[in-house]
Amino acid sequence: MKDLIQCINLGKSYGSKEALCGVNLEIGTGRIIGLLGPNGSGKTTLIKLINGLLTPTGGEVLVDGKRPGIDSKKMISYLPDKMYFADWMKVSDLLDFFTDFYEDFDRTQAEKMFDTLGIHESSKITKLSKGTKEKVQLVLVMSRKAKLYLLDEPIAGVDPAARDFILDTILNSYNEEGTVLISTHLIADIEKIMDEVIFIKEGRILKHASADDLREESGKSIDALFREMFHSDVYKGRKA
Amino acid sequence: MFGKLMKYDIKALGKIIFPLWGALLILGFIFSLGIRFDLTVASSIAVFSLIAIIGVIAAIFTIGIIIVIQRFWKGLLKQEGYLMFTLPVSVRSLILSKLFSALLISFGTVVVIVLLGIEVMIISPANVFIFDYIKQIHIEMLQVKYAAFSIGYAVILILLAMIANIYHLYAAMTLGQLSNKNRFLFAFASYIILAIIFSVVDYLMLNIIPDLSNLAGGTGSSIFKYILEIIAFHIVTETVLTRRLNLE
Repeated sequence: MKDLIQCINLGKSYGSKEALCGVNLEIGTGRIIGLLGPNGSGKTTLIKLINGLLTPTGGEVLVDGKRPGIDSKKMISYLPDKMYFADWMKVSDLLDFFTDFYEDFDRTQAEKMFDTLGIHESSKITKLSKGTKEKVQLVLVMSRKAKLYLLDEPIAGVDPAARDFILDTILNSYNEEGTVLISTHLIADIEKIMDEVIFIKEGRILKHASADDLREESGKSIDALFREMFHSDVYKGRKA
Repeated sequence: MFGKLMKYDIKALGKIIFPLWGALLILGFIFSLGIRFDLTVASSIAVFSLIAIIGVIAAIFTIGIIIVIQRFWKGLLKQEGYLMFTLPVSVRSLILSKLFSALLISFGTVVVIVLLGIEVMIISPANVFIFDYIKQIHIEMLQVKYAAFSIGYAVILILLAMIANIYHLYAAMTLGQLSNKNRFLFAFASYIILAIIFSVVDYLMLNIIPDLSNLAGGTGSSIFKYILEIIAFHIVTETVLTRRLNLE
């Protein structure tokens, strides 16, 4: 089966700083993958390269066999790690916007979810709280029947109750034939939903394996494995 | 898709400009009434509304430049860029939709100012005099050969100058976003450097083709310069945004 994402010797530097180096990666369809690494390990850079927000300085990335472009953007639903709304917009403007630009957007589903959450379509984006804005963005992104969902830190900075809502939304609404790539450093929360994990550190892929295999092999949870793998980074090699 | 992009750009610009257009027409109405009822109170209303009209027109032009910059800077190069550059549209249509919506709003402003003039002419008692004056101009213009052609030519020249100036801003901001330290300063410096480069190019061009300045009543070199700038600035903007997009 053709891979959905293919990274071939992919690299990205900002000036002299290497953010990603020689990444080789194949990701198939129909799975939920955790992209796990500490802050500054290259998770966001990798996601931005896949969706075409950045251009590689080395190697290449292919989505469904093609370089990022209009075709790949049609099939990717992307949740950035920041708010990307125009401040003049109302929730209803955003629904119109997504309906206009994405053929795979399920407006009825999004409207239902807003209704459940008590978010009014006439609300101005700037008047919403930070948490509500994040929910609006997630609902819009997950209401697309996309081939690939790129979710950059969807649960960072929200309270545990909101985390449950976010994970439920992802699980209940994603297109099951599609792939979900979630970047995070909060592993315990997504442990139970991951099919595969990718460990990334200092711009290099340390491991890419099935979550079940990893747990079986090590007899530990992914969370415990992650803590072990990155422990020395935090304590600079010293024993804590 | 291009039409849809334009729709949202016009909506964003309209939120700021439409109320100003409305204010202009309302002030025009008050001004005309002030003249019509030439009482002491009314004439002071006329004076105040005239000052307000001039103020609003000045504001529209100033805000016009600011929002051309702001819609491109904030709408593409800051956080909104994460939404816009992941849409299934080409970079070229993103740039052109910003440009055309800015031009359309400028055109709209001209129309509103003309409407303001008509409003004042109709309501105020000065209408007879002004209509006669316009008629006179019309008759005189018919006597001048190629009058319509000259006006058309002037309109094209103004339009080209506007597009070149807007593109100059776009190219400078696009170069500015390349900096990881101070984007604004870098954009500002790029603007000045691009201006210097094109003054030199203009100077060299006149030296190489001296006849250029004699074309079309001395405006030949300007037209040539604007077209050259538009092409060069567009290439810079599109190439950098396609290959070197560097969102914060």
